[in-house]
Amino acid sequence: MAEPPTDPRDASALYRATVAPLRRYLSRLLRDEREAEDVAHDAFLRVLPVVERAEAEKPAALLYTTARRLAINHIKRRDHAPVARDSFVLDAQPAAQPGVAQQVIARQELARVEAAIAELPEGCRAVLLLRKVELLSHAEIAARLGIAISTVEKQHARALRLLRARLAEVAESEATHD
Amino acid sequence: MTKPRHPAFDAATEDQAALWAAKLDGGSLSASDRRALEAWLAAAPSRRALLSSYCQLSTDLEQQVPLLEGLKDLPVEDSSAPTSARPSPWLSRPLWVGAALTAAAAVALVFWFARVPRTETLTFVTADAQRQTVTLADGSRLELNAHTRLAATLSTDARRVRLEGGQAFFAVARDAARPFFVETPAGTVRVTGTQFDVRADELAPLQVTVLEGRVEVSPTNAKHPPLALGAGDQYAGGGVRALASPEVDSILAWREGEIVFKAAQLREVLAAFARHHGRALTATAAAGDQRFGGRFNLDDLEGFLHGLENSDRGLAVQRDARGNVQVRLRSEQP
Repeated sequence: MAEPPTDPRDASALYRATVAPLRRYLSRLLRDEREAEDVAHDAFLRVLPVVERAEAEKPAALLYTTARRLAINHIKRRDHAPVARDSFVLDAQPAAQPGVAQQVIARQELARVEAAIAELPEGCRAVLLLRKVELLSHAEIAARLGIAISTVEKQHARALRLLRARLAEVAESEATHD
Repeated sequence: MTKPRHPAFDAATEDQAALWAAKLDGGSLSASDRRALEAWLAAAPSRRALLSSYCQLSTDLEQQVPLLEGLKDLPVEDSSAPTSARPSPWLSRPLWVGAALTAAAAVALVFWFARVPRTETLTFVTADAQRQTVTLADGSRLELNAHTRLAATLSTDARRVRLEGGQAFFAVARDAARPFFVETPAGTVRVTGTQFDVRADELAPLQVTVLEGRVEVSPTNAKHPPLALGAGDQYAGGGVRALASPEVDSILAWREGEIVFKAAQLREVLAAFARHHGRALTATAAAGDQRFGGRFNLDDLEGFLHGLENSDRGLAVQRDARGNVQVRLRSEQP
């Protein structure tokens, strides 16, 4: 019954055709249905704009690749023993509901992040974007850019360090202006 | 200037924390790396929190960065907005540039208003089986269920959304100077900053469910003062009651395109799908009495019908040429 989407740009057809199997696939990977739903959602979020502009040759394959990469990131984060839940000392409130909170990222905050990223030195910005946008691993980034993995790690760390400092600075100055 | 609020770490500790966070995120730790990390953490208790905050930043960036490129290319409502001509400053590969999406399958429209405050009314209408997410200029986010009509007006002293019918979830940006009102034919909801759901349709003329924060409900023609609702409270049918959190989840399931039933009659479940898709879905008396529970994907009508046929309830699904669907027992004559 499931016909291939007639219009390759029909994102909602892609969604309908793939949402159930994608969630099952992710459930197997993650062994957690709720998390699988979140990851599927995030994967669609990333892929649908590309699909709608007809820039993806194989939308379903791109979707699965993206979902798999996101799922691996989730699994890795689970293993972060140092990131114990109770040890968080964050300004941000913990998400009342995963998925919802992800969507409630205020545009202003995005604008701050965008400005902070724009200020990063070229090299570490490129590494950060390959990691966060294309979801490449350090090894893959090293291969792509033709640099050592240890350099990728250092650039990534530098980006995090600079961004954290910059965002804290912005928050401080806004707090004193209010 | 003021002193930083956070305890300061020396540059080397910051560097090392950022490096661990980067390795945890994008690489894989060898056994000796793990031992080194444990030793580094054990050296000072505050390091764990520092590393946590770097890991959290890294996780947040994974969510935020893909949205950034998208924000620039969105349809600009204000023709004088200067943002559209700005070239992409950093990403030479335009792979991810494009329209942002929030609710999966529902195209999100983010409207860039002019930066100066002014009054403008925007109207949004959703069709059958369609959801839409809208971010208003004040940062408030509205999620519209299918068959919903609303108009949003932001002015300098108030924010008003007129919900003519349907259902919407509101994540209202905090702004004490500009109260946020949701007006329905059956009453008004007043908030300052919170997350809540309003339903105004034939089955529930005014139903308000609060996820977070506080709201005040003033039913039309009510003799009493506004009713105050807190997190987990629901106003429906003239009264307020506290909901258990699974109930709140069930009510908000539509935002994920889902609906939750607990031992509901099949005719009730079919009616929900029928409303969502704007189609005729019926059941014979015997089939309609069957009870079902669970979380269903409302968008996936065919999948649901397929599931019914393959359940062990002896049900058959019959479709006519006009797309009408009737569910009957296999033992019943077509």
